[in-house]
Amino acid sequence: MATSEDDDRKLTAYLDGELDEAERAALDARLMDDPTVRARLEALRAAGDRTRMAFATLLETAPVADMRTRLNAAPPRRQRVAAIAVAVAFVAFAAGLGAGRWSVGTGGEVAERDDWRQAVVEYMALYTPESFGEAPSPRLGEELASLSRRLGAPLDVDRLAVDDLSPRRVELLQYDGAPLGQIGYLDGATPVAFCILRDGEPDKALAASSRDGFAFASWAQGGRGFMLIGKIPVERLMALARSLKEKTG
Amino acid sequence: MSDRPREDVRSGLEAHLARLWRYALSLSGARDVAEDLVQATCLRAIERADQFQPGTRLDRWLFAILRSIWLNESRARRVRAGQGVLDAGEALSVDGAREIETNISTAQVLRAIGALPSSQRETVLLVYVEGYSYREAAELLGAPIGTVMSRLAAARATLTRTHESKDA
Repeated sequence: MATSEDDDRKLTAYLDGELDEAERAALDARLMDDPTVRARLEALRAAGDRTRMAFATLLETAPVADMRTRLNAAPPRRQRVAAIAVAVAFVAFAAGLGAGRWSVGTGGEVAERDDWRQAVVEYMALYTPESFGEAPSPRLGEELASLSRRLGAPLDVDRLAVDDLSPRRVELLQYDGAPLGQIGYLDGATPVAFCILRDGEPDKALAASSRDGFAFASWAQGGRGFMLIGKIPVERLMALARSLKEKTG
Repeated sequence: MSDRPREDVRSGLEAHLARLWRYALSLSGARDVAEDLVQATCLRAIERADQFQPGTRLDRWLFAILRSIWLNESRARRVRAGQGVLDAGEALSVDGAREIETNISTAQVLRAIGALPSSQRETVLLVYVEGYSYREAAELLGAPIGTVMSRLAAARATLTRTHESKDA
């Protein structure tokens, strides 16, 4: 049976987690029975993933510096005088937003920019083993060199090979105007990602945590934020993170 | 004292410039218009800072302001995107391969997104990129939830076909 527009609506709402329980159960049953519906679901899912990826790239091209300059050229209203107070207020505001839903490390402290780590967790949920390719990217060396320049961090295949894992795919993303590099590994068949945000994060010791079925290790040094994440045992993840921290620090 | 909200908004909005611009580009389909739209949004937000409720999301408030400015502007200028006045497909595509160091097909996907009806493009951005729930998107768009769902499904379906024809 071919699928219809109405099916597309249902499958889309299903993918978006917007069906109620009864509708979802009914669709689950159809998905079990009907390979055509399953195939359609996968096609629609892939279209959504590509869209997210494309929009992420678009963000990279935003003329942030121009916009900031224009904004600063607008009538000031005593902005400079209160600059320090404003900075403090903003940190408090950001912490208020993040409180209760995100903390890293043992202190329960909410860092100003930790939202990028949450974004990575959400993004990781979309990955399958295929996401990181059958074979390592043939242009891995060049891609790493380019990423290295963007992030201002020394990255190459040797530095990024830890234990029996070697990098397979490199991606340049972006979070709130700062370049976010992602290096993809496969541990067996499980995607593992090493992410680096070029940003003014204060140094932070290596700490492990878990969320939504993912183990992740995070730290910050030299003005950059780091994160290793995957659905693998936390001990293994920490061991890999320690090696990466040592080799890329 | 009365400047406090203004300063909070003024300093807070800098973190959202890139995302505001992307939303503006999705609406207008033109880079220069997008920049103007962001500037107008920032100025209005600072002007009306006392209407912002601390503890709520500043980015969502800014998005709503941007949208309302765009609607008023486009009504005034009768250049509603999606009526073929602006070539969104062209403008949305990223200039030059150098910008994309990661994924060659991204430019193709962006072109396909640019060719979507603007109402679909906007809904896709809000829900899939900015994380609005159907209900939140419906509220901002002033449309029923069913309409949000239909737009998203139609957009996904179109983008699926784009991919198939590219592979063929």
